[in-house]
Amino acid sequence: MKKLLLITILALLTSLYLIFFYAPEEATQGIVQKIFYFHVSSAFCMYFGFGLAGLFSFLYLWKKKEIYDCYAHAGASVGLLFCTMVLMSGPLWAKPIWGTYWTWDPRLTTTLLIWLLFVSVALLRRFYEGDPKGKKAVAILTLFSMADLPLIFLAVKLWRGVHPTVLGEKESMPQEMHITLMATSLSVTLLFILLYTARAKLALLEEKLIDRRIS
Amino acid sequence: MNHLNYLISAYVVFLALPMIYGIRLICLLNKNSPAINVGQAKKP
Repeated sequence: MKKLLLITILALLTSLYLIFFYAPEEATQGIVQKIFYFHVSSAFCMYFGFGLAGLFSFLYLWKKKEIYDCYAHAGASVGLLFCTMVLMSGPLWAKPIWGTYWTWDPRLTTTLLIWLLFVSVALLRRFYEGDPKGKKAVAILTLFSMADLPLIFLAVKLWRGVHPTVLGEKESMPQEMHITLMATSLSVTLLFILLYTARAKLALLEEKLIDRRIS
Repeated sequence: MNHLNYLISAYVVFLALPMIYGIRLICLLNKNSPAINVGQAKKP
């Protein structure tokens, strides 16, 4: 865990170096475009987190093993953190470029929707703490919330909006920007792994504590 | 606000949120944390 923390810090510092000293400044947007690297990387990790929450919720409903619920808990929690980062950094980039902090663009709306859904997942989990029936309800709500995840990804392709498409535009991006995006995505993924591991460990300890309380 | 202020604000978000979350996790994972030790049976 300590080694992973050290590697993550080094990777994040390297990413910051690449963003500010290696990647060129964008021609029309200028320096504010540098939000892009962490904004997109956080969005990738949001997908990982919510994806893991969905996968382990499905496995929990299927196999009824407590460990899957703990992993789903960690995925939903860390996914919500990265979703919050996306929703806070997006408007800060949008204001100088679009002229407004928020617009009801399909991608923005579906991302806000999944944030609200996973906040309700977190609240439901807190409400039903230690209750096996509650865990089932949380798993079902998580799977229901997952329906929004592909919509976020497809929103820019299905409906016309102002949000740009990142994937598929690699060809138009200079190589330096592309390398920086890849490096930042890797370091933010390391951060995700670190936080996910710690959260899952904590969820397992909380589970043991509840078992001890009951017994 | 000029562009630099938006950039700084966004990076403060990227720095602060995982740090607050991480510190909270470290505190809860600490073996002396009440979050883990609370509810243990009282020894006679």
